[in-house]
Amino acid sequence: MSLSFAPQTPRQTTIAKSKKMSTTTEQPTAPPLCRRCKEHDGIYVLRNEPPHCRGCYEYFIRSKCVKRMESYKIRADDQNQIPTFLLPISFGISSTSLLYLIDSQLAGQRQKVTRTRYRLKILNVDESVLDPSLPSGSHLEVVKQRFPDAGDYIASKLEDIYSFTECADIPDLEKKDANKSPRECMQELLTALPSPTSREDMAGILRTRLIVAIAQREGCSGILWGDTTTRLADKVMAEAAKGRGFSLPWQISDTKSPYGLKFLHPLRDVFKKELVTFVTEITEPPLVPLCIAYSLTPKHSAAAATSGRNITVGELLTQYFDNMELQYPSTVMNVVRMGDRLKPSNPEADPCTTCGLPADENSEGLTLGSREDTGEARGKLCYGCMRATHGAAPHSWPVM
Amino acid sequence: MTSSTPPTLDPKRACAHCKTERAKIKRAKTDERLCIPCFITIFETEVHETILANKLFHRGQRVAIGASGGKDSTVLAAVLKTLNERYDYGVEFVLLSIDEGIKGYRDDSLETVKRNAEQYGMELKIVGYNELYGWTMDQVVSQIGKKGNCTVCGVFRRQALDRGSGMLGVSHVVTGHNADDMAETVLMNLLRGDLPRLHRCTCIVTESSSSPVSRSKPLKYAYEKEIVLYAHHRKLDYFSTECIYSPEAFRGSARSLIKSLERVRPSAILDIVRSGEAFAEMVPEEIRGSACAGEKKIVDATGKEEEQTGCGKGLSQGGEMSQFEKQLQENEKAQDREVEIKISPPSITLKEKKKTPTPTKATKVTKKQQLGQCRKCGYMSSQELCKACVILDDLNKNRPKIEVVLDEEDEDASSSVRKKMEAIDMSGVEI
Repeated sequence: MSLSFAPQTPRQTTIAKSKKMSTTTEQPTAPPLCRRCKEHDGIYVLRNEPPHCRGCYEYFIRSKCVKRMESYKIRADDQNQIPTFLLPISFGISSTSLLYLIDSQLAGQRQKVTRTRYRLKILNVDESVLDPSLPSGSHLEVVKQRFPDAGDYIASKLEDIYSFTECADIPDLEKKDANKSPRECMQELLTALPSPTSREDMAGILRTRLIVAIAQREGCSGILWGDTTTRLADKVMAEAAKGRGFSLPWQISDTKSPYGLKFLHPLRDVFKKELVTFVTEITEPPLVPLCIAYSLTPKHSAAAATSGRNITVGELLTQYFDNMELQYPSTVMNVVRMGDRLKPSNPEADPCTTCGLPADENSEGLTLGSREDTGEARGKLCYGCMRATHGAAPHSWPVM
Repeated sequence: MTSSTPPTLDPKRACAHCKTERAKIKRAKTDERLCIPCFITIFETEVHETILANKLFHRGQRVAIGASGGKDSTVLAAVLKTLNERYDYGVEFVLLSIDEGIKGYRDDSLETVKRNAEQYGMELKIVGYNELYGWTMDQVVSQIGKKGNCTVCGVFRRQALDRGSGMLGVSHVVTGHNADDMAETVLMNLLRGDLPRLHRCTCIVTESSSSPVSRSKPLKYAYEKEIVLYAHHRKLDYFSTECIYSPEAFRGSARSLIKSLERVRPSAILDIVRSGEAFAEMVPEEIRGSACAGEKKIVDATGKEEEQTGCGKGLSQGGEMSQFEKQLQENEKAQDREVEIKISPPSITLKEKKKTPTPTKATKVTKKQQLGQCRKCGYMSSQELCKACVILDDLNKNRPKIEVVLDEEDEDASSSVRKKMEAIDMSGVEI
């Protein structure tokens, strides 16, 4: 498992070393001292600052997360009950790092004040129904072994969403074919969609709705998402590009989502590249063997991204921001800050039957009202869901 | 017009609209396959619907088409002429061109505009930078270099359009901005974190108290690709060269991103426009700082709209993105040091803030709002000098240093500008 990650450790160190060397040319003695503690060698480059030592690097990442968590003012309620949060883990570097950081925060609380401020449940949604090469949910056991005290672990599969559809109060909901397994239904549903981008988009929506449904079942008051600054910036653009601009406040802000739960992003002040260094070189032992969904090589070559072949809108923008982050980190951060300032224009609107978010009002069909729409009426859909399902065979959605 | 076809592929490859002709075109917006005649009709109908839905024109109005000779404005002129006749708008369309004085680009494209004027039987007015300001863009570039020349051009163009409209006696100018341009601007404003512009950039009509002329974009929902197709199949006479002075930064980055997105999912452009429209409503009131038509607000008095008004290349400067990045980083550092002092986190936002009438912060805000006239040329301005005159002052200051011989001519130029500007009666135009 760790073999596939072999290349990244050397590469990361070479980056750090080359930086070190460039500074040593000025000071021919030892590597520069860590800018924070001024005791140890500064090897790890952090933002635009002079290099940090390992301990200070970890402190930096940890404090970014802790500060955010503190700002949420998570407290016991009137009955002295502490809230529970759900941490969905995808086995990528962000959610794994978040689990690591939260786990040690909880451990600290247990030591100091005997009781934690909140309880944690960890959820993995197995998405192998989308693509068999995606990490299997069985990896959750490995994660559990590393963080046995973090909280309850829940394994789920994307197709489990069908077991939640009963709670739907929408009348025209068609139940899945009784003769087919949920997995078959889900596969058919997704293959019916017109493009890879639509599949990715709708799978994302189903995933979110499933996570929310499980969080509600488990009595959680909120969800801790692993999104980094980079990922949030990527979301701003990707949602815009998919015609879902209206939904941004609920996707990137730390706020109560229309689903009734708090959506929180404790890693919103950390860049993805910083977490890459974090999981490969800082954490002891390295977290990276746990991050089986992470791969150093981008999924698509730059040429594929330009030609637009076999790539989705989401993947394209993820790569765009992964690159931008290297050169223009503050611009990336600024995108998130700006997105965070946008306010939902009509939070009271009727929810879209598919994504469940208050649909954007003036969406007037796929030509934006410049012509009568050719699309058939399919319940109340927001523009983004209408676009994603346009041209799909008339399949029933597991509407919730 | 009431066709409603299933979006699935027709096995016979027939046009989804007329069902008789063979389909030749697949539309990005709806995935429909259409034959050429149906495409032409539907393209025109969509522009018509856009015009109706937004009540862009009224009977008896005289409207100028900002014509560059390029595909967008040529198609706009052709479609508007067709629709005006077909639906009897009763609008008189005239052509207004700006001559920036760029050899090998504008002089050729203006020939196209002249031919268009004849072909469509429309009155044509050409306003030149040289006659207005005493400077051609070629001269400006030779003096200040390629960096920042788009800003100069934008400021000049905005004023030139207003003055040209004054000469033509029109209070409404339509421009050829298409869906691709809109999407690009939305992405660019997202990248820059520019909320005030994000608020107004998808407005179909922009009005501002600093300009007597309102502008609108009837091709807002039209794909660039469809515009080219339309021009091709109607055999329109247009000029297809990009401005030779178009360095790109944020817009360039946004543009290449748009092109990639379009390749991945052709509907992406319209989807971004849709998101942009949603964003417009989501920008908090206090930082909107500007107005779409219908919202009565005081806008920006200094030509901030420049990038929207013509070549569309915006305020491009070499290394603009790195500069922006640097500034952001400095802001962050400053924030670390002290909480109160800010060099303005979203820097542009603060700048824009000065123009809003919101009295919340900083005394400067109210001070700068008073809309007066430029001391030199009389153009509307919130400052003592309008932006164009500030730029001209700067340019003229340097002129003698380069060529002493120009001294006399220089005097000539600026006084002739003043005379000409005084001659244009802007007060007669409705605001």
